[in-house]
Amino acid sequence: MTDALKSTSVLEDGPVSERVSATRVAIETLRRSPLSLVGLVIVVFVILVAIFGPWIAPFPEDAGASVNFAKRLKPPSAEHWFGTDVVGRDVLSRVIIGSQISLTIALFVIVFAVLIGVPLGVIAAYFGGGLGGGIMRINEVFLAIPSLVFVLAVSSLLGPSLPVVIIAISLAWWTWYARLAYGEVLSIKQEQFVEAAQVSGASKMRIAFREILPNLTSVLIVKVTLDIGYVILLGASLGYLGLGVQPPEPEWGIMVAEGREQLPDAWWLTTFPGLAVFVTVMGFNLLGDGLNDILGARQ
Amino acid sequence: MTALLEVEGLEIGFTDADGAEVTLLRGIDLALREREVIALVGESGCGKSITAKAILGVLAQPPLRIKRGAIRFQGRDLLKLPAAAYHALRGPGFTLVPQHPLSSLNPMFTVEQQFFDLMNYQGRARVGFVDYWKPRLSATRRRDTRERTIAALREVSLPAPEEILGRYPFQLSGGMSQRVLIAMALLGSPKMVIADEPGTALDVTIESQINDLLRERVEARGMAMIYITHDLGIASELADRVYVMYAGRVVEEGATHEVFNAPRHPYTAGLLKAVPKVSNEPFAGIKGTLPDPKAIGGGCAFRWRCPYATAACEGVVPPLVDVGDGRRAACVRATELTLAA
Amino acid sequence: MTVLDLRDVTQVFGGRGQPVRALNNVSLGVSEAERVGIVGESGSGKTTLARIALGLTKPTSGRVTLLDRDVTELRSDHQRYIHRHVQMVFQDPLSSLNPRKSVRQIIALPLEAQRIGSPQDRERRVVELMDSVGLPSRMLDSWPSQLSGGQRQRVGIARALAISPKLLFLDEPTASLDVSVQARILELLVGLQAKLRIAQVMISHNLGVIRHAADRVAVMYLGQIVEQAPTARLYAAPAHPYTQALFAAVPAVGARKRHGAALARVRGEVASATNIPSGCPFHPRCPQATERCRGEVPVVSTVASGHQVRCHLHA
Ligand SMILES: Nc1ncnc2c1ncn2[C@@H]1O[C@H](COP(=O)(O)OP(=O)(O)OP(=O)(O)O)[C@@H](O)[C@H]1O
Ligand SMILES: Nc1ncnc2c1ncn2[C@@H]1O[C@H](COP(=O)(O)OP(=O)(O)OP(=O)(O)O)[C@@H](O)[C@H]1O
Ligand SMILES: [Mg+2]
Ligand SMILES: [Mg+2]
Repeated sequence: MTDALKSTSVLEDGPVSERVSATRVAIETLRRSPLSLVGLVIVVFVILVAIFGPWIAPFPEDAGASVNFAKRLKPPSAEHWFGTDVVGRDVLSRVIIGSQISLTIALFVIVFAVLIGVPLGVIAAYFGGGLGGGIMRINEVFLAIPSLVFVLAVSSLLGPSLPVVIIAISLAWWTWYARLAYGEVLSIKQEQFVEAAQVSGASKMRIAFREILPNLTSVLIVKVTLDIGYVILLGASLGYLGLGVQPPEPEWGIMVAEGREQLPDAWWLTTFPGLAVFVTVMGFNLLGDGLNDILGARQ
Repeated sequence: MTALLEVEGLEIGFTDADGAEVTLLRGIDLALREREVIALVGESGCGKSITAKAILGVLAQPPLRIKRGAIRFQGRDLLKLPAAAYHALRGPGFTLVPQHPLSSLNPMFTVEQQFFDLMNYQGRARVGFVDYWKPRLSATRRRDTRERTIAALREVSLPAPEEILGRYPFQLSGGMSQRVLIAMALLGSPKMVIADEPGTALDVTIESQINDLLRERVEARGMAMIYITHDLGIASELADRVYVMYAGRVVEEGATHEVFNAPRHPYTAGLLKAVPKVSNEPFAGIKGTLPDPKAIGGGCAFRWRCPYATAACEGVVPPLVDVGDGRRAACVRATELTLAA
Repeated sequence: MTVLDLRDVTQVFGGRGQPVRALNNVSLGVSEAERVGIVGESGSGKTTLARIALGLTKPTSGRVTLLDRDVTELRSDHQRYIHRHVQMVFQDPLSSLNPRKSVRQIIALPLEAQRIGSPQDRERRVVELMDSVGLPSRMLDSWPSQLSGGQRQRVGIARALAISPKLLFLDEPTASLDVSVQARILELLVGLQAKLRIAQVMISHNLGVIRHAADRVAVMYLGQIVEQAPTARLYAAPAHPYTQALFAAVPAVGARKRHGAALARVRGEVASATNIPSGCPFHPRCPQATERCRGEVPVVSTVASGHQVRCHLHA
């Protein structure tokens, strides 16, 4: 074969690459959409805070069950920016360290949901038949139960704790990823490159996971970003209802619940953790919308 | 006759991964008068589609970037137009027949649904809730849209249009999708159509019927057209004037039959020699490939492949100059060479 | 030796609406190192024919034999066998390239999927293939969206050549190529036939291209092969009125711009595969149609050695 090809060969050029870096495109587009840039800043900030929490928190020991009645219910001051709670713990430190819990829940839930949901959705759509039908039936059963109800049921059954919260939310969440992957793959399946891969001799598994799946990355990235916000919100709601992580953990939902009894006098007890939830969720949402514009426009 | 579209010194490029500037279009000048058909021909990759997309405002920006130049449509500079006004021009102003028929239709909707959206929402940047549902809920509107769609499909020689309405794109053959796209482009009786290789999947009998239709639109309804093609025969048959492009520049321009019968640029001559004839005449490609846009530097981009290249071709980019009879060529030796067609 | 043999293949697409009769009893054989050209009306079933030969759809009826093995049934062992020996260049260059894969990955896919050669061998092979289709190696890491139409088409050609197939289907492989690059691709295909004895089936609307890319030409109309002959013979003496109409419609380079429908050409409603006309399917558009053509289906007759036509005028 080589000879036949060489005979018509014609070339005289250098090895320069014409590849445009994807990051360059992303940066340029982000620059044009200020709101998603705000989202990005918030998200990066929250992540940094979570990672370095124990070092930046002014009173890291207050994250736990420490008690200091002398400093009980102090309003915000230079020493305690967010004030102190009923047992004298620094609210700022607790909000900072609490971000770890929220992000941990979100991270594990999303990883589980993606790892379970996406492969199942891809298989259901690409292989179809009885297997695909079965997967989607199971999916519909899960989908029929509202996620909060589902999570409430699981955590009241197994008793509330961090791993249980993560498992409970994941069990409700994978269905969305399976649905999403299913729909996307059904449309991508029609594209000719799938047939071309078949003709190239690629196996079904290879086509499903190495040819089709990469085409899902942009929708998945957008969905994951938007979802992190919702999962954090759900985690906080569970904490608030006493069905999630348990005190004395500095979980934002628990802090809001505990502070509620001190309203309206000690407003800082509920305001700051509530604000933390709000800002974080909004940050992920803004970023998600921005990513949607960037990645959607490139299709 | 006044110019409907003027493109002046259009330069398009991008920044590659190493941060180097790459220029793809190196100053394009085009003029399209009303009721005129111009053909854009040239080597694959020379920038024809990019030019078309820039005119229509659908260039992938970023990564690509319009660096310089002006695009005037009916005297208005499109590059300075707000997005909504640009949008409103698509449809009644100008439309595109895209290059790849199979990937240009939405795979998830039937032909009828795509026509419906086009007829009811074209030219709007945003469709509100009421605007969206109003046409959908009106039975007369739906019937009317359906009838117009069938008429449009029949016009482009599609057999059994009623059958085709309910089909999804993957159920159409290549040539059928292409005709659906042509019908979509002609729908709003646009002032100007840019057709990017519209006949590649049509057999010659149907292609000539389509060309008759296009010609009828030009002559009876005053449509102007930019026809991008590799088929020099079609270009001869359809176009008043032809622009020959090479590596991001126009290298020759003039009345079609004059350019094709007596080319002035060596590239045009090479192109004409490469046409495979129905008679068994020999034909041969031009040696070499398009140069790397970064390597062109200051000289003529064709110099490496040109049998007539001299030292003079190294120094300056030859400007597109008048060579008599209203023709222009960008070759330093344009007037001294005698080139066989 | 026969590489591919399609026997009485019929393809009917069902689904909602009327059934589409895309192929109607088509038989076609391709011998080793032979180059067959297929021309025909748009929608006449050319792509469908190729998809059947490649094991991508199962024909409604008929048999597909590849190198003496019956591969009509869509089974994964048959498909593996087919794809080791038959490759295809798809009609639409953009949608047949995965938008998330670089040019390098796309061309290397057949080699990787069929585990041919070491990674270094594959890399070398990809560069060589780029070279032979006239793509500069600086485009190895480009995405399909960054290429021009003709560059995409050449990526598709390079991919089909990556493994050395015995048979190559080319569906409009030069439609987006300028004549100069096209000439080079045609030259490459001649080389593949002469040196590697690769049989080729080229589907094209360009009669000039087919002239140089085929030893034998089949003309299709509404799901049937209406005429078949050695290339030189067909171009010298086309027998079927549809073939004659095709030749009459070829535009000439350098001709003066035509005003109005100056040339005589086939007219009338183009027929549809959902509702195939009675008798000879071409009769509604045929300038020479008689009463007989409306009622009676013409059979294949041989007008010269190797030249068959399905028309009452030649019966
Ligand atoms: N998004 C992009 N990023 C980088 N380079 C690009 C991009 N789009 C196009 N190009 C390059 O620009 C050049 C011109 O492309 P264009 O599609 O205009 O060619 P063309 O003249 O239409 O060719 P063809 O006849 O093959 O369709 C090509 O060399 C291509 O590689
Ligand atoms: N999956 C499908 N479902 C229904 N009809 C189909 C399907 N695929 C093809 N067809 C129909 O079969 C007929 C033949 O299509 P095919 O793609 O083989 O035509 P073709 O000869 O390749 O045409 P072209 O030259 O326009 O590409 C057409 O009428 C087409 O609409
Ligand atoms: Mg193009
Ligand atoms: Mg086809």
